[in-house]
Amino acid sequence: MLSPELASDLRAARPVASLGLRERVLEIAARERPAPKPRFSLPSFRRLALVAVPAALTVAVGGALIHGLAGSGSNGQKAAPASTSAGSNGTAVGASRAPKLPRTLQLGKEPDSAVAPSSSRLQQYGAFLSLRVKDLGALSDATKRAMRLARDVGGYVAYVRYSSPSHGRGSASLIVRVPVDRVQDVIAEYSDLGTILSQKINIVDVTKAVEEQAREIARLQAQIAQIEGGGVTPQERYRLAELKARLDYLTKHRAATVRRAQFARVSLELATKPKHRAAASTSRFDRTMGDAGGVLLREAEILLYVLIVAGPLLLLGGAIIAAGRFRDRRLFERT
Amino acid sequence: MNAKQQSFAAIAERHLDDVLAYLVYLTADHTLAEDLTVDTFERALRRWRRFDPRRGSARTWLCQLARSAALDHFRSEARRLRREDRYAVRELREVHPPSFGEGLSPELEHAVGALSRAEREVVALRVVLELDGETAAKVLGISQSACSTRLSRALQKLEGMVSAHAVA
Repeated sequence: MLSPELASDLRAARPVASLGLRERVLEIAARERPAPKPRFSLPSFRRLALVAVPAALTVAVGGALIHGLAGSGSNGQKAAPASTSAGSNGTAVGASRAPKLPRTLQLGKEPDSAVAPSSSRLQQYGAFLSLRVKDLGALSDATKRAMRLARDVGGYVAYVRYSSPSHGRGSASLIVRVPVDRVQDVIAEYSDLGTILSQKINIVDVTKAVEEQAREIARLQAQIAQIEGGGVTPQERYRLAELKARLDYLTKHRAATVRRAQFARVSLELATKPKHRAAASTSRFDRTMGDAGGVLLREAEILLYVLIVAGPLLLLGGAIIAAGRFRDRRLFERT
Repeated sequence: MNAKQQSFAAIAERHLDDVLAYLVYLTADHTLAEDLTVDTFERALRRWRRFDPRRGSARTWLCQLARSAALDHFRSEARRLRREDRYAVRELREVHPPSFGEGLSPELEHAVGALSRAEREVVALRVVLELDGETAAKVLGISQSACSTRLSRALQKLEGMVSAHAVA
């Protein structure tokens, strides 16, 4: 510790401002203007943090709880997000989307509302249906019924997959080809197998393509007849083989296009209720807590994402500040 | 009457000597300290509306501003020296012996001059201006214990040099 004598020596000899310096400083001070009344003053960072952090937490948790309460419903039954959409390719038909469809509004009940294939034109008709069935027993029945129905109308099953893993959940996928004039009936029957979750219909008009192919075939046939009629020279032999190959390809391609237009492709996805949906009979409190937990989890994900994105910048900022402080310390270590 | 209710002129008048003393100890150059004192009060006037007496006294605030002004000067000086070194046009500057006040014994003057800037400023704040440990630490931007350690080291050096000079 410094001796009192030295300390008092230092205090007694402390530098005092000269008259010139005093005048310069007072000149500066004379420039002071009366301060306008502040409309509001910002609180200190610490006070702001003391309020802002609990407020943000309250908003996050409150928002999650409100979402949970609003989303839990009173009877434990949430409407299934069923939808029907019709899309098209080529000569398009209109597309529509209904967010919620009651089970009764199915294509089979109101065939006129569905997109029907045209009887006067060649169209490749594709339909996709996603249905939910009650349980594994219903899944098995629905799969068998769908396969039988396809055969009954003169179609065939192109693909089938049936799986019933543990925990009471199961699913089945079918692709059937049915005569296009019976596709409406098939869709109507399939709609009866469960609750519609989603539905898509796709129609591609191939009339023009088939007509063009027919014209091309006729032209090729005429060319071949002309060459063969005049006697085939060795030079023409290769050309003739080429024309015949092209004719063969076009004929087969046209036949396949027509065949595809005669048979509609119907994809059917069947699934039992998800486990948490099956447990929908739990209390409203449980559902609220579950939903709120989901929202909180989402908020935590967002926070984590922000931290990951901002982390390198924060680290860089910290490093710059640390470097600045180190440099300042070096400056102060000098005599 | 709190500091905010007083006029800036009154505050300047009251704490001018404190600011100057602190800067003289920090820079060990009376002329530079005077220039930095003017700079400090310029800064203080610009920020006077933002001064919040609840967060510290006017003297503490002015010392913080003085330190910031000195730090800016040291930085620019260091840059200038680097630049001059690079182009080898460094002029021989006239070096004034440091003066830390009228009437200080030569051995004490020499001992204070031999301290580092960091040590001198802690002596200025704690011994000359008689600030308490908490306020001094706040001005220096370090913890109270770091401030105490620095002060203890500085005083030990000072005592050692003064007594060595006396023996010699």
